[in-house]
Amino acid sequence: MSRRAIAIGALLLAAAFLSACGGAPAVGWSGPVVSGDILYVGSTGGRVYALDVATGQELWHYPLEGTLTALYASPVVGDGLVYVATFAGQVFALDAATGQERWKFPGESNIASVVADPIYSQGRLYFGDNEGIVYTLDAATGQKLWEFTTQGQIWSGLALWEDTLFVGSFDHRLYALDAETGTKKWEFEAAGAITAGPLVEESIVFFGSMDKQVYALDADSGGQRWQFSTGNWVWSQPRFAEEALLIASLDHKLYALNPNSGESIWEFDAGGVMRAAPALASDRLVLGTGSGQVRALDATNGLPIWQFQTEGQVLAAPAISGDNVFVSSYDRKIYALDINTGQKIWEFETDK
Amino acid sequence: MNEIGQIWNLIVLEPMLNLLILLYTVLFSNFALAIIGLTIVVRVLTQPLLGRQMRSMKAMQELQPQLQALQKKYGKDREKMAEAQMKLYREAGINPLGGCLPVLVQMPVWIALYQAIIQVLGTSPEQLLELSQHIYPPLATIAQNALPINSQFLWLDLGQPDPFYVLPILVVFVFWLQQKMTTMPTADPQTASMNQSMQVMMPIMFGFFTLSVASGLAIYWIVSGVIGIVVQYRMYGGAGLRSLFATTRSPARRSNKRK
Repeated sequence: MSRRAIAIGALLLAAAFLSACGGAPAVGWSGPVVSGDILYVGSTGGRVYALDVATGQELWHYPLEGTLTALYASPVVGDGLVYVATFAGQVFALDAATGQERWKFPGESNIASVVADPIYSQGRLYFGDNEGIVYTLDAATGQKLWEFTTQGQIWSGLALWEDTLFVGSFDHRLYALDAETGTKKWEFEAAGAITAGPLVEESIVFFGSMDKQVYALDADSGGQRWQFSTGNWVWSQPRFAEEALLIASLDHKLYALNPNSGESIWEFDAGGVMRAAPALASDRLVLGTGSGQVRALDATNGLPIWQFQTEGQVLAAPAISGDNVFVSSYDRKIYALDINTGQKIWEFETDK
Repeated sequence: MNEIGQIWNLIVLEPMLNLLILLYTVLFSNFALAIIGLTIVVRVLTQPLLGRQMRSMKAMQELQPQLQALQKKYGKDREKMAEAQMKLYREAGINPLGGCLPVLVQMPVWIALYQAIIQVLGTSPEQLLELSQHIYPPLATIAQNALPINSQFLWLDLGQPDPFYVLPILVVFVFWLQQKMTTMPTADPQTASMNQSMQVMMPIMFGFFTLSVASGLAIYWIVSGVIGIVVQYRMYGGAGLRSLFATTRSPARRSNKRK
């Protein structure tokens, strides 16, 4: 064989390899949500499951055949319906008890991908999409009430406070919108894109950004109170615990900050990326990491209590109900753990 | 296996990925320009190897009269012909497989470039999350305004294949042109025939691959090919290009015809 043939063969082999590996596919990190005795969760295989909280027995899944493609947004429950937003750009309302489809938005067509969790409040469903559009739907019918367009993708969750809806965009801006009409009240420009959902507490809106900063703004005016620097992008929504603002950064650290001044109270190195916010129960917090660990900490001082290893990344926020914490992992399993000890109570394998 | 992946990321992928982000930041937040810039950088870095390949090809070309003489002398005795050919190569100081090295070196570069393009574009949330772990901290600060990357360029989403098939056509044309310019005349009719089919098959195959890979990689192939053509032109003058418009008959065919 000539050297030319060998060389061309090598090139073709490389090209064939490249065409075969189209990059990491969108898998989805939809997390668990508990409502009453039922746990709702989107699977990495693109289905929504309803499980019995106590036993992990499957009650229903949707769709019965096929999948919804990747699911990043966690399900949202309201008025007897479960709302599921997909990366394929559709929003479904399912009967919470049976999994029957009630409506889907926008009908048979699609909007852009939805990545962040929608929020439900007083008969309305709010969410943003990959084209930077914030939608508000009538939660009972799926009819669009209003929309607002930002200049970047929306991967950030939303927050509702009194009559104001807060949303961050890849255009670096945090928008405060009139929740009734979608009219802009004010906007604040950060130095980086915003992928982290905001949190409003005591008239202060807190959020993180891809500029590695955590910002605190006056919720009424958008005036900046303080900002805090972390070591990498901040993708998770802040949480409040024991008078401290908790914020996880992609620098692997969980920071507890003074909410009034932004000063650090304590920090904890989790040993892996934390994309999602920790879950809280009284003095305990539970977080998941990209290295597959579930870790419980003392919320007052950040000292570790227990840890549990899964076989895949844990990128969704855990959910807590009673003495149980529920975790969704990229190993396709849903785990129920004892919040006091970290012992496994049950596990459920999705997409079998 | 995990360790190999980490070494690959550390030595090959991360430098390329960070260079791509730096170029994107400097080149007006235009990802197509960043890819073109990276192609030029990669080309400059691999030029010593590519130059060696071209010199080797030129030397082979210069041996053509002697190879044709051997062809006449040994006729269909392939064993003796091969033996004499190897002796001739040895005397001329040519390694007949030496030209493969540059191509083999380019393979990991392509793979790393493809990984870098896909990861930098962050077309899926997982990819963007992964990207956060590979950016050098000082660059993350410099590029904080530029990230996430805007993947739109003209009608293209650079993380997806070209929906209008313009890039596959350009890839086919550039590869065909480059093949025509670099194919050496050969005394062996079988090799000549194989070269001819390669000239057609390879561009078509790459055009086919372009239908399914990210447009960003197709841009790399096109720009890299164009640079190759320019370098080839500079080394051989207009002879290579002029040969495009001449008949496609190989010296072997011409010599056969004269018989």
